[in-house]
Amino acid sequence: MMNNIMTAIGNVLSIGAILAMFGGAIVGTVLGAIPGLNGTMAIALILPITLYLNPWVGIPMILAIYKAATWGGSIGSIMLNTPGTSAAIVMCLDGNQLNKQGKPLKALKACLYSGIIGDFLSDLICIFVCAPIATIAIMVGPPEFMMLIILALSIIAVLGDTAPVKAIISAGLGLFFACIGYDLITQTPRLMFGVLELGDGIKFVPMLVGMFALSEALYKLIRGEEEHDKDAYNAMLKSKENDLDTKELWTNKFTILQGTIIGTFIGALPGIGSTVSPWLSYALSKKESKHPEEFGKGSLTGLMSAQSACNAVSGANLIPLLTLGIPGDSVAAMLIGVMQVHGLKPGPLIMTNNPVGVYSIFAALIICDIIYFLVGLVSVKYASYITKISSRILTIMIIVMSVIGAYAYNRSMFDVVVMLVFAVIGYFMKVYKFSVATFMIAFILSPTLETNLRQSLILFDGEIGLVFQRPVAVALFAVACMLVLLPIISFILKKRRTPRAPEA
Amino acid sequence: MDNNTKSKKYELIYSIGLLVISLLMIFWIIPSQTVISKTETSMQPSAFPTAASVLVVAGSILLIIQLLLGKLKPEHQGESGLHVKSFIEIICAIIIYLLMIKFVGFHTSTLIACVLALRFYANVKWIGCIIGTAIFLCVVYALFEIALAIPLPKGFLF
Repeated sequence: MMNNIMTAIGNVLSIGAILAMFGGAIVGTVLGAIPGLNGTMAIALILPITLYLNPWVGIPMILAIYKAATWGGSIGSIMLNTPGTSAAIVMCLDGNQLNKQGKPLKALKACLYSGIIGDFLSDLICIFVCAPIATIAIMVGPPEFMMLIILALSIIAVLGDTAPVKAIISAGLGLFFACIGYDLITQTPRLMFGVLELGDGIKFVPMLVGMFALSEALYKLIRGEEEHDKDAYNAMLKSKENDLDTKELWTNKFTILQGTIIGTFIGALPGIGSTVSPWLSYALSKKESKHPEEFGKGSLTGLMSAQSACNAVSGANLIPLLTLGIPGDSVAAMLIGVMQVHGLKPGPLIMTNNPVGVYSIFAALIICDIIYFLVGLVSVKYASYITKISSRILTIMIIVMSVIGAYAYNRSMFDVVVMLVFAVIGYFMKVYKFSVATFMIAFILSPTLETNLRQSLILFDGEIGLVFQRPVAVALFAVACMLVLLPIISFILKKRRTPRAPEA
Repeated sequence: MDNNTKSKKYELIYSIGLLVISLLMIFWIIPSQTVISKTETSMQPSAFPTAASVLVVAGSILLIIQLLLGKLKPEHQGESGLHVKSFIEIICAIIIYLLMIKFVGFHTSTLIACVLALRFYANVKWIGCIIGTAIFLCVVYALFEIALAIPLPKGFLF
């Protein structure tokens, strides 16, 4: 075994592998930060090249792009209020607020450090408890998935920063818009209005770019820039308050650890981990916090809990991939292709058939963390320089980059039109204080929710009540009900305890 | 009418609007735009969008009740004023830019649009507008057309 481990480390510590990882980390960070582009796109472009390279140059490069792009997406969230990926949406809530307060460097460093810690610990958990977590992951079926999504939507609706009733409306709208396109099971057209381009539904990337980037630019153009004291802002940029203190990181150690555990266990569930885990972690840390009112207004605790959970998913995604051959997301699906071309067959027998291969992947995960951390330290410094650009120039650049980003996704002007439509919707949601984040999360989770609901109905021959015979599903549903009903019950109890004013 | 009353008025208008649209969805648009499947017995394709619309209906009714009873917190109320004129101007400008991209070409359209926007919105000098836009377009060209091999729209010009 020691021999295999040493060979694996030697595979990944070659000059070619290290350079490939550095290149991958730089590409991932830059593309992750640009609105409309993401790590998955970069991996898809580099994939054909990796098939001709040594596997221990290609696979580490892909892993480096994946991990760095997760952190890169947060740069967009913090500096431009434009998340690079769905997982980075939650970072907009507090990260962008910190930027507006003149503390962009603090926010970026908080994300980088909490992300790297989450990533590293998640990789260690993946290495040591891969098989047991995979065993639990396959016990989770359609009813449990369905309840987990209902729980996630309940958390976001109840614990978000808007009125709960407006969050419910946002969630309903998100679920509705996701239904446009060919029906998942019967493949009949649904709400397409005869537009063939809507066959695959509304594309996520143009919608994301429209609702976050372009709507933000529209808001600034139409309503003017937010007034703030420029002198105070510039003074804050140069002050020590703008940097992350070691004490601030240490104070949040349990938050980061909690986020890592949530990200690792939820991330091991194929398909939903990267979207759901940052929200669950954020919501839990808000519940536990002594100052929940600070969340959504620049809370470091909120930011770190979400980022650590977000980054923890990247290692956990490999658990079902390596042990069961089930890809957790599109990046894992691409990795399966590369691994199979190079003779690595993911599945239950991989440890027996190719232990060096498995240990090499584990070693690559750890070394990628170190490399993208180094790249991150440099990128943090340059990313914070975005504040030096005039916000009017930045608004114009955001509009142009949004158009490019929406077009580049599928090389279609139709997507650009979709982006504009959702930019207008996002603008009105912002003006009337509806939660854009809840809308997006509901949109992303809607197909999974509907598929699992319909699979559950098929499983139970139409008797949906039989879902409540599954203990995990019941537990998740109970938590969701508690989250929704608890604020109402505590309000009623509080009213009963408050003595009435005596009548005159 | 003070700002608070104005914003409550707009809140009420759009809540009622949302309610009407969701009801239209449930009773007219969804039935006309989905196909009833004879083979699918567990859940019809129209069921999920209908359930989502019911959620919006329920939320709209609750919002209307909260507004009428004055229970919606001020920090959860929308902003007053729609800035309709500015909104229409900006949207028209963006639509013209997109039409130019489709028919003229991305690089030419963006050069013209960026130079004008930088000059009249960001108050940058003409020489700065032209040089800045040229550098920006070179970077975009190198990144998208060369590095990522994503050709940007070309009309009758570049």
